Amino acid sequence: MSAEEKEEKNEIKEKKVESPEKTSWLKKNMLPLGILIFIGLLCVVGIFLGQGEQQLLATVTHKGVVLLEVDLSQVADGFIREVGTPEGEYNVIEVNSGRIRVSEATCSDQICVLQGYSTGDGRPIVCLPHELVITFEGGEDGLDAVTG
Amino acid sequence: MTLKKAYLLILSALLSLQVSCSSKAMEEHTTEIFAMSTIISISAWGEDAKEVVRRGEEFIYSMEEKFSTTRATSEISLINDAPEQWHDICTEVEEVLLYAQGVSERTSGAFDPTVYPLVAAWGFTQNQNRVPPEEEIQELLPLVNASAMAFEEGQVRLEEGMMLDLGGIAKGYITDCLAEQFREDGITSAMVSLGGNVYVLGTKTDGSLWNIGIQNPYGGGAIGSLQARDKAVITSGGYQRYFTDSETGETYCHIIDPRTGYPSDSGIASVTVICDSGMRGDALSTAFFVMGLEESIAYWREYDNFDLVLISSEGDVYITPGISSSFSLMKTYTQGSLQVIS
Repeated sequence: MSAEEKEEKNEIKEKKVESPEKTSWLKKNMLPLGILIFIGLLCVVGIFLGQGEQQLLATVTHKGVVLLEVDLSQVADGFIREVGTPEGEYNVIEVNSGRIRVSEATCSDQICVLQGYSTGDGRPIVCLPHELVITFEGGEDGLDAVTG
Repeated sequence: MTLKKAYLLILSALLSLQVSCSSKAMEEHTTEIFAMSTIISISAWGEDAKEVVRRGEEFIYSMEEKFSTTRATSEISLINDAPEQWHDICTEVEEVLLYAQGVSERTSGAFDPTVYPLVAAWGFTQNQNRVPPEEEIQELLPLVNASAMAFEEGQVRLEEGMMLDLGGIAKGYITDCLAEQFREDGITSAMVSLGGNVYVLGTKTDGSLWNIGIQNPYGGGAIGSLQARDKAVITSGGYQRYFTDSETGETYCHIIDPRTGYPSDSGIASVTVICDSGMRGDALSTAFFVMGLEESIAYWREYDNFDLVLISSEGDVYITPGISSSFSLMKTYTQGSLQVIS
């Protein structure tokens, strides 16, 4: 075998060695690549979950006790709930699709009734004399608090 | 991609995940209490947030004991019972009274902590509203005079017949104290609302600014929202408490103009003050509601170290240039247009 032929064979050998190197690179990087793909998938799932249907949760609390939790966006038929005390004091809460109000109350200041309907994008509805609060979660406005 | 680069990528991805997880794991505590004749909500994030919020609650109750006009044993009630005598007052009450006297002077009496006799005459203190006769109002007006408050070390004295009501300033003061206490306790993110008097400390835990809505005085939700950090955002309006005279059909709001003795009718539906101090914002928002649009803007031009959102009775919204990039009107607000004060 001539020297030229030997060199050619060596080159071929070297070329043949490249292919196993590529395979081993993939093998070596399988774990990190897998983790990257997993993280990417998590992000995509998170985005989809975040874009789920917008809830508007109203929570009615009386003297610190939660009496009613209702997703206003899911209310099809309106209803009325009366919150009373043994002393005869009461607030009438009217729930409709996407909105809620105190329609009637025996409190002295009537501020809760005057506030009217809330669609969850403003202040909570508060009856101070009766310690009744209607708070909201969700909605499309993304407000952290409301001043007023 | 080399192995080294791939690992670096993963490391950075994991680090960002860890940052987001650790912010979520940061302790959060929220509470809601009834005190100071309003509903108070406190939310705080940070190490030991629950204990910090609990101490905040205790502080609010202790301040209620001092500032309340309905508790017979409060410092303010004791002063009101015998105004012509010298009364020992704690440092908190003294600080608020002195500040209130200063605001009263600077606003030419549009804010006055001694307006209580008039508020009572209109029945707002007992929820028994009435329209007092003109003679009664004229008799009571001389009793409304913050400059007559006399101070000596740790003591205050009013004049006979005068009475204090710090409802338009005490909540703002308490907000400031809470914010200061939270900072000292290592809280980096908090939001306090005393009946709509909002203070936001730091940013939200994800680093973004707080988004604070401003109540629509005509009902419904918010007229717009403001992005802020480390600010008091305080609104005064006549739309929450008012009554309609059954004889004349006229509506009267609960904020009395100390200069006239009548409920304010200045052409403003609500005023929001955005500034560093809750006490200042509280007092000024009440004063501006009484002063009206032009007088309020003139005051702002003179001091120019706070921002304003003024809503006129016609529904137009006026804002100061300092918040022109952080305030936006809701698309649903159609009652009026937005104008930046120049």
